[in-house]
Amino acid sequence: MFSVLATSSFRPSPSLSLLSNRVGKEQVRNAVKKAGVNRQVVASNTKQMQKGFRMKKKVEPTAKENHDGVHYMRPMPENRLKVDILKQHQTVLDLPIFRPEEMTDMALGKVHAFTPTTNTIMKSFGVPRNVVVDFRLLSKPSSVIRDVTLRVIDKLDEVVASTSKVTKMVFTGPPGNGKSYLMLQAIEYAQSVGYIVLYVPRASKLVDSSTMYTYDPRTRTYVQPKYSHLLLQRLSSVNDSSLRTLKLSKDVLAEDGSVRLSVGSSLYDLADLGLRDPTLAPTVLSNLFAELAQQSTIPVLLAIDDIQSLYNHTTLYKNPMYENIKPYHLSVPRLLLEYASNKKSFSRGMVIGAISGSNTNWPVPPELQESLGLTPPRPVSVYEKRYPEIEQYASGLENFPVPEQLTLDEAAAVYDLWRKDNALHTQSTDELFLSKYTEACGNPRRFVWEGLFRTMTT
Amino acid sequence: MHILGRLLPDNQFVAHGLTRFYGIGEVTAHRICARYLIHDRCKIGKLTPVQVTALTAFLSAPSNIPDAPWQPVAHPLFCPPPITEPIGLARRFKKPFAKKEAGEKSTNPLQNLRIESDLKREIRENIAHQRMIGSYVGRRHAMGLPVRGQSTRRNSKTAKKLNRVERRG
Repeated sequence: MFSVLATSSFRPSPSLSLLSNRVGKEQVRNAVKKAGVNRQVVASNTKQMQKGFRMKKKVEPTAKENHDGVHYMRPMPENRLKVDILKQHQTVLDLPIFRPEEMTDMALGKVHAFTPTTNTIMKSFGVPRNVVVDFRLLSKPSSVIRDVTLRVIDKLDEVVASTSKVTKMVFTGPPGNGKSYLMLQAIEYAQSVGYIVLYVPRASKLVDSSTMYTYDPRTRTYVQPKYSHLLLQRLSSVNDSSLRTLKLSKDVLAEDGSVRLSVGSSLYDLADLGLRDPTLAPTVLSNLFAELAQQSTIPVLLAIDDIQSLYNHTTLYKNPMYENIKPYHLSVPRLLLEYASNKKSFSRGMVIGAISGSNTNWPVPPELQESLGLTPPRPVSVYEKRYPEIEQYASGLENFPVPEQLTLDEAAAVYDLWRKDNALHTQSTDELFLSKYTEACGNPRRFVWEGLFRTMTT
Repeated sequence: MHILGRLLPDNQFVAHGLTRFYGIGEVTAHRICARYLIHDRCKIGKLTPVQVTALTAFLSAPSNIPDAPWQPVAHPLFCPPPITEPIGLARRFKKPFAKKEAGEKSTNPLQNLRIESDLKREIRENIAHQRMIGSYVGRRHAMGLPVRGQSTRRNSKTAKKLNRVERRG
């Protein structure tokens, strides 16, 4: 007779680990009943003990095999910082938040943290790789206000003030001089004054054969449905309220002629159409761009980092004949190239691009160099081939050179930011600051990464 | 995922996973991916059922698959027609891998592709032919010695291990 309290009257049976290799079935069954453990686990353990070396052990994938190939640079999580010496150094930076009304000469050389809204935008759209590494180390994403920041803000204000001003400019300069950060500052200011923001942080991802592509006979291009869907998702989540206020100027028709969305529906409904049906995403994205271009109620900011990758004459994508596909034969790069060039324009808005020197797979092509008036890194032969299509797309861009060097005040602010965030491995002195600033020639990335982070002793 | 009876790991890139088949190397694998518009970073687990079916159909009989369709691309000034307009046939049909003469093989590398048992059979037939006609190459295969004029004074271990008339592959 078994009762609820029957277990207390049983002599505790020995655990399975104490049993000899030859385990009887009766003992196994009793052990399972007694312990009430997972039968399968106990059974497999006992089977292994019975069979011993003869049984093939289940090989679980190791952590290395499970790895997805992407190495994330993350600081150690806080719950692992148990040693006192590490706990003392945890600080919370108290930085002023970016405010549009404070962006005057008084703010020059001061560090401002990005606003929570901008942080949301950066989380939605993503940021370039070098910036994401900085933000993972900093306790708060922040940047220093430079003279170029105020000049870009002035240009953004000019567009807001007029109803038809269109500016298309490209930030240029040597690697590590702050082009990507300047773009983030422009995005922050733009969203704070009411722009619709479209940000493509890594344009090279559009041309390096990393996203799905299919041929569309109507547009005669290779559409990228997954990336289009992703871009629509990000666009609609970040500019939700602005898109709901804008209305469609013409009906959106289906292939059979029926009306999917009528005039008067909001642009958010149009974006939602593409979100609900990913196969429609490329068409919806180009329609959305067209609608944003023809309206002049809300200015639009299109920001593209790593823009030179769109101007290379081939991409890594291949067509079924194994020929390289050109960037203007892919749907999303073609859309971005058209709006960055003279072919199409937003009625009221701004297009800013930034050249990136980090990825040497995508150099600045000669057509773009000539359009922006850049000095090529080595002499260009007169026989070097130029592609007229790329020249067409590169026309209409304005060069906006970003200074190579930080001023002393700006560098001091950057130094102070990292010092407060405990990035220095050594004592903080004026000599350290000046020596690292000089060694880096004022270049922001070299100053922080090769100067401050790599210094163990002064 | 199983393609043509072979288990390919889901987390591998398609272009790499296809090299598991005998007769497909890196170049051919990339060509096959391009033929079916599979991007370089596509993993085997992310393939759509249509793509899997197309790959399986191709690998089971590469010579029976027609050449890739011509996909005209838009020049920079092209304006796409409205969505309600039916798409007409291309006026000009371009045959990139046109046969030079009747009876000659197509120059499309994928058309002439042989894999697995077909390729092994072809290799065996070639060696058997060499043996049948009594050539030097055939004799060397029969003796299990190097065929291509290598020295046998010191190294010839691979030839001694692998060379035979009924060569495994």
